[in-house]
Amino acid sequence: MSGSIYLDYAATAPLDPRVRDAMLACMDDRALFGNPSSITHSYGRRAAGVVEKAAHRVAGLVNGAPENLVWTSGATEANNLAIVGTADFRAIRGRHIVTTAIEHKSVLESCKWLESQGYQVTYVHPDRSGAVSPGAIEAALRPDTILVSVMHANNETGMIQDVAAVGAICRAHDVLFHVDAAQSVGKVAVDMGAMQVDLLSINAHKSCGPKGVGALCLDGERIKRITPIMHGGGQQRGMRPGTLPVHQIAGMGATLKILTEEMDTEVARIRGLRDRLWHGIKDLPGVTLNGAGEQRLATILNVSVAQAEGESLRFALQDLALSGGSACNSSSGEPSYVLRALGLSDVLIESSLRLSLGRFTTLAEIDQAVLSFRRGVEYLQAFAPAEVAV
Amino acid sequence: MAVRQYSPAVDEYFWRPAPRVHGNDIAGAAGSIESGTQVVVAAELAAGRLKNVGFRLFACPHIMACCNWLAEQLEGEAPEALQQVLVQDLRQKFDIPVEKAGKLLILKDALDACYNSYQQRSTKG
Repeated sequence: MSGSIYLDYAATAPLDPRVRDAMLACMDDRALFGNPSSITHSYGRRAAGVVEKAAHRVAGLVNGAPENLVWTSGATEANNLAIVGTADFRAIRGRHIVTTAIEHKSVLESCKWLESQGYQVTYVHPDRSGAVSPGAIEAALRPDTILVSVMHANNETGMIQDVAAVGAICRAHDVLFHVDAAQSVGKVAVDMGAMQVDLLSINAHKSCGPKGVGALCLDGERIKRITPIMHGGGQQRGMRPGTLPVHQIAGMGATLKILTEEMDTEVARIRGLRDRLWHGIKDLPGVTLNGAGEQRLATILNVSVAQAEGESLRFALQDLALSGGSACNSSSGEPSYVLRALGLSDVLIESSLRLSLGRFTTLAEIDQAVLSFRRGVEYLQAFAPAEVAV
Repeated sequence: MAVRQYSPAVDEYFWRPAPRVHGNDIAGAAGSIESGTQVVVAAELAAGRLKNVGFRLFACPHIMACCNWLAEQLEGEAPEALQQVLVQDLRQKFDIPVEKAGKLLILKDALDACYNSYQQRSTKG
């Protein structure tokens, strides 16, 4: 609804004007329309320079190497490329993959497709707090395991997984480790070296950057090639064909530059707003937090509301732009498999809401959101069925 | 989640709560929270007419709007009006999608149960 308070930053975020300016500058420059692969002339070399600069900015934020970065259309493609491309390239070593039951659909569906091709996949379940035990990951490893994929932060609950511990386990067993950092990059420190991550998926649009661009960062010492999932020219060392969208890449570079400079202060501010929101609603009867503990993103608050039917809850909160219990399953309308994995009933999942904050969320908006939330929940709970004596 | 549009009647009646009756002469219920829809309807009787018709609900906006509207419509009517409510009329008034037919039938069952409650009371009386 236009005019509502935007609390769906985990889905996507508005473009930062500074990023827009960087993209417009790239598009307006008559000398920057060249194909960055055409380095035989100045037009191409100028465009390649923009791409290289952006690669340094992106790699710098995650402690990766700019020369080992593969540009994609977003994290979904990066996840597909990481899972399918690695599995195919390493099939001679084994055909077993370990992941978790709460990954993004782009990981889970890639794994399911691999299963249809004869691979085997073990799905490790989290505990009721949403945490995946590194020990459970290790227990799932087999001699023929070629890849482990664990998301850094969950897109529905914001729960942060101990990927450094999983990375150490994978390194000890000489298994490649992929991390989907679509939600976490720019919100918490992501260090490929320290976390021993071999493949890292990131995007820009959840951090006020442009949609339609992302990257897969590889540890060049551990994995030099993966099989492309698209076929075409030999761009990006043959791993991802297609002419690079220079203005999109410039936008992603600008996005991550801002994150590098402002992440600490921005996250502290947003955490304060999120906590203010939670403190404003947590005393309502039946309101519970999904993904407990401090190990979660400062930007996400996922709550369930008992005694309030899910569709009516969303209807009553129309002045808040948020995601419901079917988050990230919008096409299917199915209850969230993430919350189901945490042990919630389908009815309570339907009455669950993800409120996610970001760069442009204000204190006034949070205070208004608290009022709206309380009004809607109290209205519905006053209707809740009770024993009626006749 | 799928984008759902609601009719102006739903917008209007969702926020027009029927009274929530605590002491009742007749009542009926259907559905359950576990199944996603529960409707409890209750009313007092005054001079053989329905009074203070009220609902308690765990239901979608369409059903909530229907119940709030019915509470107005049934006020002062003879108890027989409870069983004369037509699902088709509610569907048309609130532009309720066909996939919610089951939820409407739960509402209808609750109204019928309330009328049965009235009949039992009359038999005893």
